[in-house]
Amino acid sequence: MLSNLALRAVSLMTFSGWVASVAGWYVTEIGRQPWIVQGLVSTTEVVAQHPSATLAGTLFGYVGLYIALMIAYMKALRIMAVKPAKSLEEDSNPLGTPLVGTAA
Amino acid sequence: MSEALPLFFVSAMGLSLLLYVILDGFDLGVGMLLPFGTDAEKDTMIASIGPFWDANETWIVMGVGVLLIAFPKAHGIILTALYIPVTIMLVGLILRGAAFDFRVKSADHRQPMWNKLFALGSLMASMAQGWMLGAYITGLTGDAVSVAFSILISLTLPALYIMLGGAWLLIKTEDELFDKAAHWCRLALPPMAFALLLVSIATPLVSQDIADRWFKLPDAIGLLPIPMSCALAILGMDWMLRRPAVLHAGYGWFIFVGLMVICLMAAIGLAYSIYPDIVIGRMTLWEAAAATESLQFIFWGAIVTLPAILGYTLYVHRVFSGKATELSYE
Repeated sequence: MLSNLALRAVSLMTFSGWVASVAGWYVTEIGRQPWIVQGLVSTTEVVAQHPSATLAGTLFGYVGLYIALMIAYMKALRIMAVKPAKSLEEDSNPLGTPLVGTAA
Repeated sequence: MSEALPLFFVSAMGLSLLLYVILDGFDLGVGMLLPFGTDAEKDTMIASIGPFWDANETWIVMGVGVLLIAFPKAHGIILTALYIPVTIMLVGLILRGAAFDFRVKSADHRQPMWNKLFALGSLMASMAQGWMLGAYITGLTGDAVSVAFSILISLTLPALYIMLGGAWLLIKTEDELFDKAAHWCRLALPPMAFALLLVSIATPLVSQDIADRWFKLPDAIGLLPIPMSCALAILGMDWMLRRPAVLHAGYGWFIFVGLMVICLMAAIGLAYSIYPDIVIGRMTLWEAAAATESLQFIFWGAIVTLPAILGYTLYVHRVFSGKATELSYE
């Protein structure tokens, strides 16, 4: 049996897949600079000539959106993690209440 | 072979974008109609598009993917010119995709917020796509006429999508929601028809090239079936939407077919207007095409991918045919 402390540590592994993909993506994209195609085409050669205000605006738009969605995602994960435990205490159904909704 | 390959890819791209408009059109339309349903109806409306929506979106990925790999020079010009509407579309699609899950998985009191974001995301994506189409048809010039035309089409395309969404609900739902869907279709038909008419008048006015192609004899006679079949489809849909008994007798799918005819005719008309250009007035599809060797290589990928997507699209529609029911993980 795992101790409570160990269980808490293991629960943090929830985010390991997410951290791994973001870290992997970051390493490829940043690590390849200044190239966009390694050794063949540099990023400055092909970047679109948008005004910097446009680029800054869309960049902050994406970052803001993803931060908001990440918060929603972590809250939803928490709700889903807590839910079955609650139903175990209150319901006679040992499997808990199935989630009803759309499969996406 | 080098002549035929760009034609093959431009056809594949056109077909993908036509299927995208029809297929994602209905689920974006259902998204925009969401605020008008009751809470229980909202769940049914979402369930009616649940198994289909993400497969529908693969068609735009296919279309833009073909543009990128087969016509890289045109891709650079088009996507750069459409940077802002593309961003708005992506934000809309991201919000929608996230709301799909979060509306049922987040806290209950947050559900109204996610429903609103679902509708908002659908509206943003639809209007942005209209804007892109308008800007594209006017040659991506960015002048006043082009902007006015883009606004016109960004208002038109949501009307078409709402109509497609209502027609989809006629196929997928029953009882009160069915009657509501018929009502929504009745309301959306006149603005859609009016907008379609406006776009048909405005397109030749905006571009002299397009006007010359449509109004010279004898070609004009050969083109008559395009506006005529659109007019017939609109009259037929109007006739049927006024007769609930006919809709209830199981002919609701006719409305969807009428809209498919309109989309197909619009696509043929558009292709006729702009061929052989890929960026109107600036670049032909031959000039934009990638090297023949590259096209030969990706040809084999395309002839595997296209039937595969078509196949799973047909398969999912067969598996989930009939009326939508409450979806659960039970």
